[in-house]
Amino acid sequence: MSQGPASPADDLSAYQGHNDRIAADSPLSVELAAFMQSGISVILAVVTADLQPISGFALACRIDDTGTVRVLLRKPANAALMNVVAQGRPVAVTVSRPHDHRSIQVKAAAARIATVRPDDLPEIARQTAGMRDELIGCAFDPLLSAAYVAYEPGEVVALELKPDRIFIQTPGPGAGSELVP
Amino acid sequence: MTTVTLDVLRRSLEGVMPSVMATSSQDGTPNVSMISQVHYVDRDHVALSYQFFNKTRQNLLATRRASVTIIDPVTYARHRLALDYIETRTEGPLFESMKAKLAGIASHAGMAGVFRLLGSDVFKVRSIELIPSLTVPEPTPERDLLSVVRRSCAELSGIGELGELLDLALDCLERRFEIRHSMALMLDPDTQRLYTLASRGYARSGVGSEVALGEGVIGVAARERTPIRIGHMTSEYRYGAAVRDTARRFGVDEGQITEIPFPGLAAPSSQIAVPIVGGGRTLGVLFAESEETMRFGYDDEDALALVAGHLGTLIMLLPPEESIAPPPAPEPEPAPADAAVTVRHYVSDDSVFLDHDYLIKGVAGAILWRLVREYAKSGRTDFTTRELRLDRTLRLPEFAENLDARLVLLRKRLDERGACIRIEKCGRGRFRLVLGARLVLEEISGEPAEPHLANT
Repeated sequence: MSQGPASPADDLSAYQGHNDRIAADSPLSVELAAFMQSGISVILAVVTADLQPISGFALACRIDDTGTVRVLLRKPANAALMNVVAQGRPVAVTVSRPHDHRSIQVKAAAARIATVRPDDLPEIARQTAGMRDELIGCAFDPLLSAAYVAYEPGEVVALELKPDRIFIQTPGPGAGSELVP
Repeated sequence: MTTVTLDVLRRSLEGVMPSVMATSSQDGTPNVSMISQVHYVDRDHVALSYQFFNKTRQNLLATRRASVTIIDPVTYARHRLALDYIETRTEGPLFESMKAKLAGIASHAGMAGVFRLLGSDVFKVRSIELIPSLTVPEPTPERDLLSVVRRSCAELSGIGELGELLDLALDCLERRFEIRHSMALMLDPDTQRLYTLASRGYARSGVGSEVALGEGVIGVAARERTPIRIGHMTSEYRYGAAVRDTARRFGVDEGQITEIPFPGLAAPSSQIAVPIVGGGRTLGVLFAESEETMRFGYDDEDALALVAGHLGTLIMLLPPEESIAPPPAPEPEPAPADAAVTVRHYVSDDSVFLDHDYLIKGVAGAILWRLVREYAKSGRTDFTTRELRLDRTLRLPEFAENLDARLVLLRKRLDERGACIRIEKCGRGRFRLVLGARLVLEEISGEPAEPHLANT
């Protein structure tokens, strides 16, 4: 992966250049939705009522044509985080592509906990393999890269959320800017 | 919650794998990002790199809490840390140590010039949660560092001479730590530069080569009096460039620099520099490097810091030279008639050349010039360190180890050059000038003007 790092300006022009929304009421563009599902890093966070943040890793995310994002994650690793989600608290999800650091954060006022559907499993397998290969491409140890995305199918759970705001998180000048349709 | 402390999680804090950091705004909105550096401060504190004024930063200042998820790159164990923000440091040992490490991480990630440390955010660790994950067992360690340190320190304790002490220390690093490339440098308190006094594992020894305070991991370790290490090498911390840049800035042709080349690896991946401290002063630096990435971890840093600390104490305890009167001048030996060498001394910087080859400068140059002049005047070849110490014209720095270090430097430079002049120890605090040629002395009041880049 020889190309250089992405820049916030790239994110801005990609968003403005592909202005087709994935759904009428979603700020997600088709291009962003494809990026988020491309087999890269997915992390998330919630905040408790007393303002304690909780961070976590996810495995993959899927986006349907209504603009709903299904974040797929390991339940045993995220018990406290799921409890906070169940209380109706806001959720933040960041997707990053290791080889060029392109990163996007979406935020939603709340999320719904859902069970995994049969068609989620091949998609989790595809996206985690993609993330593993990204890490290997960045010279990380292959075993470590595989362990980074390891999961048991029976332990996966889904969070469904409708992003209401999107932020550029690619490092550099302009990082943190909101992408507004 | 478990009772795990940070002390046993340091491998997860090496920056091998990025960590996840979450913060909250005042209204309870989460923010989450990947971060490249979670730095171990002590068993209750970590520091995170502040690189950009972003949402994370605003949140920290507003609510002062963070959650960080870390991964052990060997067992793949994951932990979630609940953190309380205390303060931001923008200078000092912690900042410099993180700055060097971040430069390495940035270089590895292709983000040199984008990642830049603005501050070290220090946090108290409120709780550590073990995250159920798929893990592998802890592998058998390659070596028991505690045992290696103990044996190295015991070996060093018997040595009473500075040059031998440093040579043996580097020998221990090779035999016991399997560190094949290392150097010991001493700090000149007057010029605030470090000069190499011992090295191991290089094509040329580089004895006498210099590093400025603040230059590379060695210079920063000496200036901040803290270990500095890098797991992925970056141009920001390379040696040599600064010297040449300075020379060019002052309009000096590179060929005219009386500079002994720094002997380091051409393409190091990992470097560590640990200050040698004694009597509350930085005496020098113990340095090691490797072509392997991430060769030196927190445990190696601890181990080398113990060895360097022991070295500092031993240097302070080196036996003083015996208080003896200068020996009577022996019968002048007949000067070898078949060969002659011109010893040229430049007053401006005490640089000394043997014929046209640069040998040494500074205090070591002044010492050699004093010895050969005395020999020319009286034929005397035996000297004491005491008489040198009492000679105000040599402008010796205050502390005893400085003279010892200069004599080691001078002896090694002469030996390496296979010069017709050698210095041999002949008893405690006594040494002898051994000459293989007739000496012609020239003193020059101007600057050296010939091409003088040393070959060795």
